[in-house]
Amino acid sequence: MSPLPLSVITGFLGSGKTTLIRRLLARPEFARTAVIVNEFGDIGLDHELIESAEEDLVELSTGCLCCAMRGDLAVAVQRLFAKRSQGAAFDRILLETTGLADPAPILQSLLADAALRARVTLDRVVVTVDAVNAHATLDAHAVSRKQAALADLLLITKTDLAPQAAPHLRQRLQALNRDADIVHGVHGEVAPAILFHARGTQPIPSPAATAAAHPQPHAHDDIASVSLERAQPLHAVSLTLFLQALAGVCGSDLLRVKGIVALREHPDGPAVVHGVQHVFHPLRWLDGWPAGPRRTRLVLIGRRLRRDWVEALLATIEDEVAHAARQ
Amino acid sequence: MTHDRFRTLIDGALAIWQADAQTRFDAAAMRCRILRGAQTLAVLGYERTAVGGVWRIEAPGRTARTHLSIVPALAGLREAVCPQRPHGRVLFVWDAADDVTHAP
Repeated sequence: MSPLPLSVITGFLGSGKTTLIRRLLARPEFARTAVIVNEFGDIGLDHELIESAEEDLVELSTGCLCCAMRGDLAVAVQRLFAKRSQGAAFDRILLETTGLADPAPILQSLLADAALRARVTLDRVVVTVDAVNAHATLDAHAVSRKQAALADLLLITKTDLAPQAAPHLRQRLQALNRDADIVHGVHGEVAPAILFHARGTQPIPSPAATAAAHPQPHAHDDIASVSLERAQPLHAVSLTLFLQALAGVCGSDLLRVKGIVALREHPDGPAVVHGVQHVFHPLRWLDGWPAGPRRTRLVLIGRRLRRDWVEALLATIEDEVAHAARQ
Repeated sequence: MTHDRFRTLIDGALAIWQADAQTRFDAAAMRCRILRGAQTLAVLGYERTAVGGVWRIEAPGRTARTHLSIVPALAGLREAVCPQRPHGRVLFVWDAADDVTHAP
């Protein structure tokens, strides 16, 4: 049985995660969706607000998933699949984190935990951002900046309450994560097709296309998103050494690496690279190239990452490997 | 390797580490002294040889090291300049989804 897509819905406290999920579950195309709700505190409330069949809902209310409950995520998924074997009909899972959750350990669990990987595969990381309070939240709470930096899609909520704040907020979010899609939604109303992709079809934007349009990192944010592009295929060992150097230098300050890579050793199709901090999914080969230019495109998100440094590092490694190949 | 790239590689790593250090680049050679005030933390040099580019790190109280790649050279620089900073390693996870015999 193929693993089911699991999308992570995260965002700071009160940013509209539960509202979004409620709206999604009301749509017919989300009828076959199971939900895991992670609540923090003695009294769970969010799961009461989500209208879902009981057999399609698992509540985790004994702590925050990113801290003490990482093992419990595997248990929750196992419980859902037990319900599925008893007749619960779902083919997608939404995981709502607490508002204070650091998504990185959760994503790492999804990549690294054998029990989880046998059953689910990470689809998209959707982060809700409240237009009313976002600037103050981003200023005051590092975890909210990290949530934004790790998003595949940023959903700006409550724009009806603060329409004047949205353009500036979009700029700030782009500076934190230039390659995430950014959409607006009021009261959780947003087209599901924008929120979720089928597995493996996430577009990797062209750095050339995005670099000119997006602003430089916010002066108070040390999280940067850097895009790399290469027209010529890389040696596999160059990619390995590059990732090793990134992880070695950045440590836990490397938040996410994603992209598609053309390798000389595998000319038939590109490899998908996906890593959260130092944990990387095994390379997955695509049968062909997605739409767009057939070239390596990598997106790196991390603290104090400089584009010129990343470019220089990869260029140096490519030179070293090319020299060794000529010997 | 150009002087600009040499400088970028060192400055960029020190920025990521938030190193309390200053750099003094040699204009004539690819060589950089990394200091904290008057104290030398490390000297990093690069030269092209018959076997390719070679990185050499010297640090007070440590054996000088020569590396054939930027990857261990940066690791050595971190040890000399920011020894308290943990070393990160890449972990490629085993693909459990491809091996159902291990699924619970």
